[in-house]
Amino acid sequence: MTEPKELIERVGMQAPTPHFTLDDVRARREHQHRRRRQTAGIVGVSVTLALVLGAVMTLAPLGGSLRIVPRDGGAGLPPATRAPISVGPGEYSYQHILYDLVCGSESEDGGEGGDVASPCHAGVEVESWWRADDSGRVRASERRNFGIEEGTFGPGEFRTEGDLSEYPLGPAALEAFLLQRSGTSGASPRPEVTPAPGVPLNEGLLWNAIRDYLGSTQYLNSTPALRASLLEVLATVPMVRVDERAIDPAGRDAIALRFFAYEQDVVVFVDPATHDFLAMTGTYRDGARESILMELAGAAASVDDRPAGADRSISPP
Amino acid sequence: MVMMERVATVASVSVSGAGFDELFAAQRDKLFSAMWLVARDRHEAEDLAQEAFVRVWERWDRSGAPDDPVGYLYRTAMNLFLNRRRRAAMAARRALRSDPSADALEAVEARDEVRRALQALTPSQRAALVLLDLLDMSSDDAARVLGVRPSTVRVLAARGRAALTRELGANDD
Repeated sequence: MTEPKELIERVGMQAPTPHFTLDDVRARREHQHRRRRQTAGIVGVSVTLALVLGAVMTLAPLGGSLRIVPRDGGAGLPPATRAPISVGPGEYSYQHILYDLVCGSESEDGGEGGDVASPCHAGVEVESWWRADDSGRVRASERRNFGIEEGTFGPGEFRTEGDLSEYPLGPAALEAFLLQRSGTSGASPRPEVTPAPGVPLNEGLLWNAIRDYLGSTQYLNSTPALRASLLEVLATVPMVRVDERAIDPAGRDAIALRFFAYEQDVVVFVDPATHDFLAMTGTYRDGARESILMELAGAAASVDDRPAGADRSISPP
Repeated sequence: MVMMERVATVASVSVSGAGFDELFAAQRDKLFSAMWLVARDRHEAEDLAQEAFVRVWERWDRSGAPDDPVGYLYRTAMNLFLNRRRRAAMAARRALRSDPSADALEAVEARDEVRRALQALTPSQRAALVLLDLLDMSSDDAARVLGVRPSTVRVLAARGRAALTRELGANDD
């Protein structure tokens, strides 16, 4: 059989010639500059108006996605009443996650096809057991297009996007670590795009870095303690408003972290007792929305067990 | 020009001291080919490549040429690709729409077979394979592009190759 490298090379050789030219790139860049200038101008006027009115307002879009984002948040989380569940040596970090994804009225690009029930909705359920030796198990209701690899994995075989064991758990150290990691010279550089007009780049970098670990299938190796620390960092970001009396989509008591970033209204729900992740909802202007719900999380003794009682790191729905 | 000639030296191309125009001329086809393979959609590949060039250009004007412009370009493009995949709503749109006709090249059977087999790979596996096997990067260089450890790149690529072989074997049956 032909070697995979040869196959990749063969397909690569048949790549079409790109249509875009340097002029297209220049035009794209100038278009982005124009939009930024327009937005900045509108924001300047809007801020003045808001000051005159003595209120921070949300304005309707004027040809673009314009929002005045209140930045008097970042109050932090009230103290947890329970220490984060510690996943001991030999135990598994367990997550049971439900994804509900609805596409909007606009679609940005071509699709790939997939096993889906309806043209505009997908529900995916994932259960995972991960142990520090990178062994464990993943069960998924639907894997195509979501990069989910199902099965039971021996030591070193559990697929993750990176080792999280060196992430500091103290919020201040973790914040510095995430910013360094997300910077241009860091291990996981992020696009330098501010999350909303008037909001500093660092706030967007932090959110982009943190969201990867909140119910993401990329990092099923996250632990309750790490997620709690990440959410403690997020709650101190100025664009994030902290609502201590909220109910998550599963009906659980929660602390809600609300903000607008990257054209999405985001609400992250936090367990008040442990600060672990409960849920996240995100809504775009075109109606697309995503919901990630952590049904159950904690420490499990084996890949056939689920956390119960004090081994749960979040309240049951 | 044969693609392999175009891509074989990508990791070693140096544009240090040269302008952005030279970087664009040297890397346009190579970057597009790489993104076409990982994204499996011509239009998305064009979009990703153009956006990556814009980001590099912005950086170039703001603080001068990056130390490794080619590495920075590919890191930006791969990050754009992987971030899009991670964004759940985008994933939903991809999962929920079936429009392979957007790419006329689907019609070519031999190529289509391999490209279909690539669907069995995760986005990260495809990215690792393209960087190592198409662009001939070292696992250290690919790790810098993907923001992971070299050992992770090797694991991703090994699993990608295994999945590719498995899929093509299954198609042969």
